[in-house]
Amino acid sequence: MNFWSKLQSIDVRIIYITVFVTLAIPLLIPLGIPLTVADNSVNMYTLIEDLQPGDRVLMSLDYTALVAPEVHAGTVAICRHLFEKGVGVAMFGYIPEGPMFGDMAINQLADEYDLVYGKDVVNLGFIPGSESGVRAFGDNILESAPRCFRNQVTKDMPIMQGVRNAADFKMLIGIGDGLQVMVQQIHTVHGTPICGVSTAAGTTGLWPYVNSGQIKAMLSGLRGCAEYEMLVNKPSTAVAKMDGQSLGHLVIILFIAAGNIGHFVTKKNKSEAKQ
Amino acid sequence: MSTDPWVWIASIGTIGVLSGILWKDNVLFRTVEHVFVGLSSAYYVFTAYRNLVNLGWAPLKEGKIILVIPMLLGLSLYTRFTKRYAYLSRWGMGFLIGVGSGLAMFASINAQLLPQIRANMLQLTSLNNIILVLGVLSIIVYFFFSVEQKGAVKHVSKIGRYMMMLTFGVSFGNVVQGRISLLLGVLESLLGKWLGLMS
Repeated sequence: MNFWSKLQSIDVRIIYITVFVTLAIPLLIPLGIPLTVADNSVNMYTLIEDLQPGDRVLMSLDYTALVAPEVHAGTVAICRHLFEKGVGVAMFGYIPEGPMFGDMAINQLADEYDLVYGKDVVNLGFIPGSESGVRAFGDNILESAPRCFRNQVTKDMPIMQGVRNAADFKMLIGIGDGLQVMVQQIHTVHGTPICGVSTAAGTTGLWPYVNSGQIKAMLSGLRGCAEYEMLVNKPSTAVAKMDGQSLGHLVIILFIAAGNIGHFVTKKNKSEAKQ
Repeated sequence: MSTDPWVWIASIGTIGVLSGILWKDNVLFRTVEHVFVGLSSAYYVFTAYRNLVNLGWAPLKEGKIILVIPMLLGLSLYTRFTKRYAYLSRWGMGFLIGVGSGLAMFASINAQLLPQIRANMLQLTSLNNIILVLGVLSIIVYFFFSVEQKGAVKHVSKIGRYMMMLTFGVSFGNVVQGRISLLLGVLESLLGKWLGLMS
């Protein structure tokens, strides 16, 4: 096997190690590659900035530990913005692990913003039943979540006073993989404006909903979360990873280019040998 | 280096999983794998139990008798384990399929079809709008099988195929971005939270 053929079948472990090292270096020694903020992130920021103290929003946390490194920074950054403005947040999730991350965010920010559980924020927990469950939840929130993630009765909580359905919230912020379901079963039925954070892989499929206005604004993956951290002036974990993200893409491009060069040179050599 | 035992457990778990992928099947990898499966199962069982109590049993005790119907339909799904009463499971299954289909039909028409048609009725006054409308129409033509794909139809259909190829490329790029983010999350956890090497 000559050099060009080898380029097409690089051992997967070499790719792993190269990517691993390339991503690790900027985490240890930040390079400070400039980060620009896209219009989508500014739109998201403006939507939340326009909320008034005392308003309430629903926050749907639909992600597992698998994609948490990509979107959880967005949950924290958006929560910071909401708590700074004095907006009440009612979290829930239709994926069982989702509300667990909500509780992590609440615990992380509780002291910083003097949060009172049940007044400033509540975690309504996991809503079973997939899309049907979300529809039932939107129609009657207290009946679908009689007890919260911390097993407290929700109907007595100050944040839940006067709540009947999803229309009683100013906005629904979806984080993770649930945005489409939220559009279908909450926005379409109750008209609640939707915005949120999508995984990078899910962005392409959700873009038509942004285009049609069914999703008012959307952050895409870790990059979107980093931009939001910049907008709320609290650069944190997502911003720290952006150098690595850029270098990682560069390495992947180089590997794809190497594989293709190998393919075309081998093909050319074969056709020349035949002649 | 972290003194938090949970950070240590998480880091050893991460290394265990990576060792199975980068090196070979080993005791640490298998242990971590089994612990993960066990913990996940326990979490799901507990969540399901709590939902059953909070959403079924507790309201029933408070006098919401109507809940007997969905509970019986739910229980009917378990009759599949007996040959004699297995037919009863069709009632529960039928109910689930009926509700699911109804919701899907509602969502398809009101959240997808109509708003997307409306969103694509654009004035062709900008390049973006022209590309969008051209893309939608050419892809629809690509999937129009009632006429033979030749002549003008073939050319338009080809544009549709290129449009789809572009979309797949964008999707693949996004997937790469997502996977890099996940690896960065793992590295941040190992190098930052565990070893304390990140500033």
